Amino acid sequence: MSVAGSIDASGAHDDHHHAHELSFIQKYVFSTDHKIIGIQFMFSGLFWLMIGGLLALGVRWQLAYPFQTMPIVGPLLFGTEGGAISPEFYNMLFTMHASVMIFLVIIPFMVGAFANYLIPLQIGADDMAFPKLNMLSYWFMWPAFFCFALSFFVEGGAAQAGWTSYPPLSSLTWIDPVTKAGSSAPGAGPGQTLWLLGVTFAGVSSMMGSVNYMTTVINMRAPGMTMFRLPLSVWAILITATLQAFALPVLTAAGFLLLFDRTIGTQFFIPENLWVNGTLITGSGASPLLWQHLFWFYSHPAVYIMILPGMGIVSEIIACFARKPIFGYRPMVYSIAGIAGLGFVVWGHHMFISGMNPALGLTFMVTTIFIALPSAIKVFNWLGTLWGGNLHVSTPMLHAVGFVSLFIIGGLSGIFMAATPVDIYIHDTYFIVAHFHYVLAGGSLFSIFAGITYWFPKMFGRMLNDFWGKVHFAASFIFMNGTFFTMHQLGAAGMPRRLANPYDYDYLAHLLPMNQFMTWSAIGMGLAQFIFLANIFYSLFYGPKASRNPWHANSLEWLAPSPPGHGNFESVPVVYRGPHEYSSPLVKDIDYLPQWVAPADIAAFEAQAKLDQPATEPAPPEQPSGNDEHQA
Amino acid sequence: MAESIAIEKPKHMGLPIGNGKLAMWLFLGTEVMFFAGLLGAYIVIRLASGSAWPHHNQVLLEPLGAINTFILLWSSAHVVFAHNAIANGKIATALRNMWITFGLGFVFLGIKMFEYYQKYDHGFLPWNAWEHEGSIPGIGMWSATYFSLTGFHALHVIAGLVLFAALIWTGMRGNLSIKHADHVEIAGLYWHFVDLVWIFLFPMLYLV
Repeated sequence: MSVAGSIDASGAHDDHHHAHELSFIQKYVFSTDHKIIGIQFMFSGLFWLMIGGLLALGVRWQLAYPFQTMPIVGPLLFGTEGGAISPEFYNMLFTMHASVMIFLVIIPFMVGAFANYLIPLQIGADDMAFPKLNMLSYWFMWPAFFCFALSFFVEGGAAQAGWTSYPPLSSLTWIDPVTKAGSSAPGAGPGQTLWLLGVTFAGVSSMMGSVNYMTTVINMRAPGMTMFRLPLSVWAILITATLQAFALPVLTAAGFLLLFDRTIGTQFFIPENLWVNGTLITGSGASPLLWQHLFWFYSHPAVYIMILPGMGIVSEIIACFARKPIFGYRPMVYSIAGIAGLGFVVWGHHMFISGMNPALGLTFMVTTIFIALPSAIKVFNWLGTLWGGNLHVSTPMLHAVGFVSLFIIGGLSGIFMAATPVDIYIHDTYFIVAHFHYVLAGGSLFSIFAGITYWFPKMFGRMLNDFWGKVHFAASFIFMNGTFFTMHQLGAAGMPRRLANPYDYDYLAHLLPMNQFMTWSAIGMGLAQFIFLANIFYSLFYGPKASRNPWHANSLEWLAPSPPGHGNFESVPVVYRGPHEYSSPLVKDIDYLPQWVAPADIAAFEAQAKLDQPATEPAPPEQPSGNDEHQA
Repeated sequence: MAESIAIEKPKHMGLPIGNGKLAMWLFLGTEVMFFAGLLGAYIVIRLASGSAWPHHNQVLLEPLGAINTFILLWSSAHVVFAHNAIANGKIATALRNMWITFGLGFVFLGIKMFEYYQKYDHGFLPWNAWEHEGSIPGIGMWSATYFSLTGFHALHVIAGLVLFAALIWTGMRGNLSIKHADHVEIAGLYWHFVDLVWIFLFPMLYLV
């Protein structure tokens, strides 16, 4: 019955509100509350962010000081090799850095943490449409965590075929029964199989989540919350969930086929007559290119899965702290949809040098360059929102503006890659590494910071420290550019990615000092994150108490208590207007007009808000720490 | 002004269908994409193989595929009867029709198992991919695609049977009522989808 029960048809449960006591386990571990699940996604995301960051620092160490003893961890990990990273280990580092960051950090953050936390609160629902399915979607991440973590400790280490896992490198595990040869690489052992299993579990989790999000947004909105009154963050998540739901299954299918290649000996992605370590593999082979098509059919939309929710978050924050309606609300929605739609037909631009009909290359080039249009609409609308606004330079706002500026750089460098002739030169160089780090580390990560700092008061009922928040932003922003901007130059100089020691080539030897500078910037960026973590954990317990609406924002989540209780709202909110009515002419003395204020109640709301103004102002940043803070 | 916006009975906005049915439609969209990936891979591999591909007469019995197609269509019809019955309060009729669907699902799986046994008997196995002298050209690749496609389809058949088993179990304990009309419809949607996948698989594997 559990299956039929979990797709419960009625959906309209009214029995959420009687307060029965939940045990600790039910409340915080196996919780069906969307807020707890969102926070669970957030904390596991932060944990894996640190792991992914450490893997990146390993990569950076090798590029700055090739084959030199790594400080601290080197002697522990590779005592036999004098503490230096081996080339195979280097392959593992960049493979697992990308895989962890994409599958365990950014995607779960965007469509796990923010989607879960924000959707019901921002549409005025008491929970998701299917709370149990929601809980399962988090707990399906744990097998993925387990597979990824375990893979570091199996024979041959974790996956080494790159996060794209191109066959035949990733598909040959096996030892030829006759010649006892045939393994394609040391890392093509069980680590690669665990990688596939981990990605599949993460995919199942995302799939359950996205069906739930779409159903919730479409069917559970509060009275008056029409589709075009949804905050842009909800729009972005809805469209992202659509992308996720319809692109991901293709990767799941391809992943199963690759798994069959690795485990039961099929040859879906192994070419005919392949020589491996001196052995000819006979039999009817199929096509390694097929994997590339299937993989990128999902993984290009995945790029938008990682950035679109960030765009939604940033739109909300910029409107709030510019105290202006978002410039061009509907074009913002249409451009998100446009990016998502085009995202389905551009995957081939990852394969320009894989061998492709030139006409097809041209097609993919044109569709890819089209994406610049909706992206530019978004950027200009953000600038239009900022223009003439009453800017409040808070930590979330800094991160949001940081997002926009870094996204512009990443977007512009993307056009180079989209042009087939240019891509032939810069493909697989550090130019592409620069590009996707500007959109992922610069774009997605800064929008995650923006989102956490913006909704932290709602999540935990306490304010983050604004001063240390700004220090964290400044350090991250500077070191981020120090790390990644120079990669453009490396790429233009022809430095290929994924080489354990590029300086073996004379024409790259002069790039070593630049790489050392980047490595120290990366270490700085890593250290800066400890400010962020310390700020979060300190403020969780000792931050000043947050009011319901500390930013004077308009969307429905700020109507609920901070933090909202089980069931979110005291009564079902009714929505009367769009989410960005800042500086509305309907109010004189306050510069915001929330969605839930009935037209008849505006005057009363304004009077009350004026009374509350001093009390609801966010605490000044130079608040002394802790001991005098026991206000009720 | 407020009155014109506020809705008479403020519940929730959304489509005039239940969450369960909406979620099932969306889920079926993801399933379509899953099988699109598999079928797309099959088409690409098949076309790229050229003549190194067994003729379907060498490896498959068309009548068995045709019978299975008929069985799934038949079972789908009984889902519709069951939904029609339960929506009109005829619980016993609904239960009987669901039993027929359930049974036909098992007949389908039985025939499938027999076919699998035949492939096994002839050594047409996916892990036989490294071919030997004298085997049918492309037989390893063919059986890999055949077992992947029909195997994933059979798993979906089993999932559908679990849904009906849950409903039938509810009915046998006497708890099935008109309230479950939506449940029957949702399980039926899924069953029709499983049916539809087979409608694609049958010609692509057995006829072309």
